[in-house]
Amino acid sequence: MKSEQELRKAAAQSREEGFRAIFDRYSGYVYTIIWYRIRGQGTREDAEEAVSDVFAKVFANFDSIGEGKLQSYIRIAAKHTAIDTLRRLSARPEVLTDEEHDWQEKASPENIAQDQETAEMRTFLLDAIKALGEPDTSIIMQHCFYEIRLAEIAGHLHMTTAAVQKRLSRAKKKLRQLLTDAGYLP
Amino acid sequence: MKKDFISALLAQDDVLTAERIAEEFSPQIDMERIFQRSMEKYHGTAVRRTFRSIQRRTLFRTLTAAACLLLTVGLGVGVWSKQQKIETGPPQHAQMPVMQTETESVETSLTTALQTTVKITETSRKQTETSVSSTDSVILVETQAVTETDAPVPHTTAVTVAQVLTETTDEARPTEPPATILQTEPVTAVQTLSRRNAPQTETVYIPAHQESATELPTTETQPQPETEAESFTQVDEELLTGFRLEQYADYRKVICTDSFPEPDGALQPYTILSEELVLLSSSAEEAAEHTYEIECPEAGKTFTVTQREYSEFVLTVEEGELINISLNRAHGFFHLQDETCSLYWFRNGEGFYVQCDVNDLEYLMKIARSFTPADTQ
Repeated sequence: MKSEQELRKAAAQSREEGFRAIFDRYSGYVYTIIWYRIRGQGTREDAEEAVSDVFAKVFANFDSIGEGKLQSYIRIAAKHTAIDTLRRLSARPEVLTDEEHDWQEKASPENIAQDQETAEMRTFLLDAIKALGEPDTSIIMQHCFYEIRLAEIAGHLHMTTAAVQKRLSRAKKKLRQLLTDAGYLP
Repeated sequence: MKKDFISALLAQDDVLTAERIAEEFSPQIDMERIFQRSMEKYHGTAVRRTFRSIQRRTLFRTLTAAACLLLTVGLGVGVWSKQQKIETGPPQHAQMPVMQTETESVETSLTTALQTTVKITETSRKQTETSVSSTDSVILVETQAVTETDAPVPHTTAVTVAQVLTETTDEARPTEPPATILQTEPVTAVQTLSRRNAPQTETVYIPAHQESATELPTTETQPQPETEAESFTQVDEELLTGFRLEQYADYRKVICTDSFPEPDGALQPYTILSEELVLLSSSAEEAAEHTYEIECPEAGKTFTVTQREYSEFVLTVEEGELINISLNRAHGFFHLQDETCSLYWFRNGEGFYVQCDVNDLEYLMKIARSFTPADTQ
């Protein structure tokens, strides 16, 4: 993974190549920050548009970003853009399906245990997901967090959709068991 | 999509979780498309910013010119009204003795100044000296001071002053020659001193095939008699690989330093890869130049792209008119002039050129980005 200094050096040699390196380094990070904020209200297209906004902003202000502050600038730009996107989305009239509504209810703090407990649970869950190993880790995160369709995930992993579906089901069962054993789930 | 306990847990607003997911679990999506979109937005922003700054500079220049004009008119009116007052008032005999006592010294200093400042032919200098009178000497000295500052507006003022003084003294000394004879030489001096002015904006192309040079769009080839000897400084400003920027007194030259391959008259045919653009026609009536008519339905306009081989490329621009861009790894730049915008880009030793109104410059980028070699289809 390239350091900020290396990224700046690349940008000094060739603007486009440098920007591409910056994008490669931080695009996943920015996408996640934005998606984390807007998921449930926005679509993947909304997130992608917001990501391109963030990088357009970063590239336009690249020369004025201080040394050693590139990542924090990108993080702040991503959060602000996510908030702007949310504002825009909230102004957009939308009809939630029952299923989506049901999910949003579940996702609300009232329906989850206390903040501290859920924070610990999330850390435990992420550790458990990571411990699953590939390709199960990717399948769980891409499908459950990034909401990418199974067929698309299958394409990325060069597997059949049925195989991905099977692995997903097994991984979920395993995670549920782990959370239950740890006392996080009944 | 059915949401389960994993989605519900990960959906909580928790900064630490977000940071961790961002660091450890990247999304597997097509990022190239997003990158291209970012670059489009970035270039759009950069072009808009530069265009705004050019607009501001143009406005500033216009205002300055208007202020100068007003000042000149004001001075002219002031002098004219003073002249009117003098004409209607009593003759100023009291000034005469002073003028006469200064005549010789002023005459000497005038000749010296002329000899050291500019090369004036012997005949014209003689003409000047013979026509010098006491009053006119004063006028010429004032004019010389103006020529050294190389400013056209004060020069006009000096001439006006000369007329006033001449007419003031006419009444007292009716035998003196008119001051207008004197004015011819100093004006020549002004012109000689200010010959360094380069043409404001001028484009020089050296096409690979001379026979088609006359068909180049919107280029005006002008001789550059003075600029060859003019000194320049290398501008330490980022340009894409293959270009050099030279700063002259009041203009810049962008020079393509790439060594163009030997023109062989065989241009690579190109096509348009875009759903937003329609390639209406492409013509290659002569081997040295291809033209492509491209319609942009969104803009409701048709643009013409010219493709040709170059043996050398030099473009003269004013400061701030150039916007450096990168187009799918090709070298390129915008040249903004008042209301028109030209886009040049170079690929595989061939040059491309398209021009439009500044309001349509975003379409030029779309065209350039979607311009693809036909054999890759």
